[in-house]
Amino acid sequence: MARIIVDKLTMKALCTNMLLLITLVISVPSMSLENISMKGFVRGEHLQRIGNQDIFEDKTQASLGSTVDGKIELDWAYEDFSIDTISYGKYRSRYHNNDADMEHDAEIREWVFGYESENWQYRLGKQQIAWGKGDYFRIIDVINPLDLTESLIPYLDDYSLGRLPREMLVVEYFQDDIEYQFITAFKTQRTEYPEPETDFSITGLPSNSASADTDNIDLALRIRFFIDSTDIDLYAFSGYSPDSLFTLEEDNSQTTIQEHLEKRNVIAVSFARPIAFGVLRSDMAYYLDEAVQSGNTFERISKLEVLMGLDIIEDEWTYNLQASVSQVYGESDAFASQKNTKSASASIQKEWSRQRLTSSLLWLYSDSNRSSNMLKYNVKYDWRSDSQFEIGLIAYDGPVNSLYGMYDDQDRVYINFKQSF
Amino acid sequence: MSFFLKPLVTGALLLTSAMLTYASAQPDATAIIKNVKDRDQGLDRYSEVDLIQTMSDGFVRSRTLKMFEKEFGAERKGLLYFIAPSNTAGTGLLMQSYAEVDNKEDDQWLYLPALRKIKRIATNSKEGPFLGTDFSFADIERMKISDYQYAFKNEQSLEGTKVTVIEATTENGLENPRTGYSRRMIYVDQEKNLILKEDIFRASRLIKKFTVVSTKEIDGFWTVTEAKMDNLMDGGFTQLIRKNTKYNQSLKDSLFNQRTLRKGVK
Repeated sequence: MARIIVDKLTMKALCTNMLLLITLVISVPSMSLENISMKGFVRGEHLQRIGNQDIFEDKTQASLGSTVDGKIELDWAYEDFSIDTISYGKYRSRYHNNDADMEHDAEIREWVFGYESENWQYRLGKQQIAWGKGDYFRIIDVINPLDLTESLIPYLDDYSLGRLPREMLVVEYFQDDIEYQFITAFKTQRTEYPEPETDFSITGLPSNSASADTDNIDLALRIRFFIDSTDIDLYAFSGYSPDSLFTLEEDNSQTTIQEHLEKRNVIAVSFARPIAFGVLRSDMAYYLDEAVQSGNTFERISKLEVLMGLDIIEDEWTYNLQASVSQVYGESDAFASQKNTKSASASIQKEWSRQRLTSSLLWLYSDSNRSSNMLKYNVKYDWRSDSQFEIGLIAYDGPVNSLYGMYDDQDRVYINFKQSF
Repeated sequence: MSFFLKPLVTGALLLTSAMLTYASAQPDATAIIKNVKDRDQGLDRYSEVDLIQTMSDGFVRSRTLKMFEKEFGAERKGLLYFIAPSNTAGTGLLMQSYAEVDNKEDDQWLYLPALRKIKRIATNSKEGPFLGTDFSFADIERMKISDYQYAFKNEQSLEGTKVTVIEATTENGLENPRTGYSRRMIYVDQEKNLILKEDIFRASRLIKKFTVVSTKEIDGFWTVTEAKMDNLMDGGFTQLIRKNTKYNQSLKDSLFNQRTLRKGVK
């Protein structure tokens, strides 16, 4: 029996293991190639910084270079059983790390064994679960952490590539208009932060800390029901936050930085309902006793986050508006400036020539610390039904210590070509 | 005077009687349309559908999807699951339509694989293009009888098939706010209760032509196997080709829920 290796791999090992997987699938008598489906894409992209380049000693650093990435989804299904895999690889210039010329990595990003019966469905493996009705703002999207090595850019383009899959067992029970989802996630998956001195490195984030234990289990429950044209979801999560916290530890007159992964408990509710001119949606989450960084240590606070969103589709126009508020409850003065933070987003999309040409404008706002904005504009053109060109602009604005303003020197333009198969 | 009055009154009575007889012999256009809407299509049905869109500049976009439909009393649920091309594959649309008397808009959910989320969608205006094709959302949804008033025009032969021509107009002559159409000339095959052709107008302008290219009796049900929508405003057309159609497959109720949207149909 072949053994599937699921850790991070080189391209050669990835190909080897994909071959093993295919061999496994076609060697069992009850399986055949007609039960296998495959799809994916290959994409090449070139990026260039714009704006003030005086901060760079070497003007050639303005060019971010080129990236090639690709994804293959290989699915097998036979009667009530299924195996779903997603492999992803990326080959890029020093856009990601200022020291390396080129970097590459590839992995079987997701692998899931599935079984379903009349009312039950079981999925075991490395996967991702998206909770909540919000776009861009993760009020309830707590199961999987994010890859922030390139800030939010991958997440904006494709949420599934921005969210980090993790190993979990998902059991779902369906009955008429009610659905139950039980999640057991093994091993805490950390939020992936940028390396120091890379484009989106976070000032003050330690890079050489003693690691926290990740052998933790998260338990989560979602109940969805449908009443009077309204989708209502209830959520409960008890586990660990993927966001690393750091403390300074003194040991034998030596000071070390210790990483912590602290417990997280969340209860939440969301709904979505069509109204006269669109769809109204909302997420509300209460974080009980959440640990947050406070200088060289961390404190525990309670936090209520509420998001309201509105989606309108009018012929070739699509509008999305969102506003969210985060209210911290706690006695510490350390969070005086963060007691009440607001975020907002607005996006407009226009289609021409029957979706052959699409133009989108996205604006993100946050007043965390101080007010800042992020703007993304892009135009996509379907050269052929399976080929697409895209050009775009991403711009950040705000004070240097604000959420988006800290990347004010990372404004960029890009062009990419995507071939699907 | 009385010499002429008697035949005059008799003649008037005869003429009135003839007119009334003629009027009552005219087919009831609304009833014909209702028969088309309510025609027996089995308890459930499955099809593979090719949507091939040819634009005015020759660009061709082809999509393949699986379509499942099931009657739940007066309500209907439908599931569209896209299997090709690869950049659309995995997208699913779940629709729940209600009895017209309930006066409720259809509920729709869209699963987008890139988001890994099911989005609730609602288009207050159904005249927008369905997936960018020349079919609008109103064209693919269950028709609503109350959108128009119907009048019998004539009977004629359409490529060897006897059809009844019905004119559908809005009450005030303006665009229907839901469909975007102000008038439709509908050619109905009464024997099969199928619409074989439609000329679609906005204001006084002919904007689209719907034509049934072929029909076939499958499992005892007359089925449109190929249809075409010509876009006379922008140019181009969209073909809808239905394959492997099967009726009364005892499709499970559990097929028509959000689980199937996320998981897909293999």
